[in-house]
Amino acid sequence: MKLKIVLIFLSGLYSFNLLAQGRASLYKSDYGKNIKWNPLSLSIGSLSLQYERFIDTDKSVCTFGYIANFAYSNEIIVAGIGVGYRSYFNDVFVKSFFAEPFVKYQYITIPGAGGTFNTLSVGFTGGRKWLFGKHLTSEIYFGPSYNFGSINEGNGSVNIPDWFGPVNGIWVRGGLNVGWRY
Amino acid sequence: MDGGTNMQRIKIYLVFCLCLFVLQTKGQRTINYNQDSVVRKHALKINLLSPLSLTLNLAHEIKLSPHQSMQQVLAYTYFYSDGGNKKITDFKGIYYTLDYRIYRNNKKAWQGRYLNPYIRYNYINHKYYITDTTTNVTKNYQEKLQGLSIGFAWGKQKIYRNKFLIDYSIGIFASLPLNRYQSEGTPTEIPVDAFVFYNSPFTDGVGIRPVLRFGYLF
Repeated sequence: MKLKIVLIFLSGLYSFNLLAQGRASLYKSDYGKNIKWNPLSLSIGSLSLQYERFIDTDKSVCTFGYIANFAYSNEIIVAGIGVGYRSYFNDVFVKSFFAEPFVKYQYITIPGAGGTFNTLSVGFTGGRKWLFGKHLTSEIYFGPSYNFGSINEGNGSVNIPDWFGPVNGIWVRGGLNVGWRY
Repeated sequence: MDGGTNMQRIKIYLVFCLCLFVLQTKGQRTINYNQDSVVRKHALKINLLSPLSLTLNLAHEIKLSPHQSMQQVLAYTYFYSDGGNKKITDFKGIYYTLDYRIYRNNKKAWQGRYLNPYIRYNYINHKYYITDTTTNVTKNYQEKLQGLSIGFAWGKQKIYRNKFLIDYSIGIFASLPLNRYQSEGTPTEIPVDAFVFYNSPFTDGVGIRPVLRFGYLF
């Protein structure tokens, strides 16, 4: 008799756990990937894209890249690629603030002058993301970065001593993205 | 089947049930973040607005009680430009702030609106040049300034999942110069351009302190 009571009790506990976990899994996103585009970048002749891959309900890895050439007619070519690790402040993202440390590499070449700039950036952005319906997303983000820049004019690479906006020194990274998750 | 075999089967079943239960509970803990009851006493924060003044700004807050805390802030500004022909501009600023916070929310610890008196030490090392328009001679100057600021801020802090926080505030401050060193000329011969800098809000005058920080609790 005692054994039966213990068995019923354990079965009840197990079912309760399954139920609770089932409810939690309802909130898990079925859309683990998000591709994004920054429409504001067009204003400076740039195409800026981002791909976000969720590794948990509240954590993701963002890979981003951009190329700017269109507004300058090949006078200057800018390309960059980077990766960030994002943590959402709410455990399940629907609309949430987030924090994202990142690293970025940027390459700038000026074909007429024959020089190239290489920049490695380390930074941190904070932002907010919204979900509209099931697929459409939007986000804003902003934060500081420190850029380590070097210039290559054919005589080897030399570190840049001057502060030079997005190439060398303290700078910002920010944007407004619209995206599609799937 | 005899009674002993049945008993053994039931025991195996019980152990199996217990294992399942432990596994399920462990799995559920990884999902249910909101029941994290770990007491956090420290927060590390980054000011998102500081790069607008070419500054990196880090803060560390320590909880003294559920409604009081101390915060130390270290900020660093750097700008350098070499225009050739001795036209060098170099600006370094280091700022150390001590904040004392009183949170006014009695229900939730360490969050809500707060009052924040603070004191800040400012050190500025500034190299600049002035070109005489009549002789066309460029002269370099260097000045090192130290100032002490006293201020008051009003703000709000919100904690998410006992793990992340957002902290925003606006403050005012007044500064007094502690020390001034200039490599060229005497204080009575300060060039007009430099005199504007001499009255920097960090070393002599009043200013405002807007803050938007994202932070991590530990």
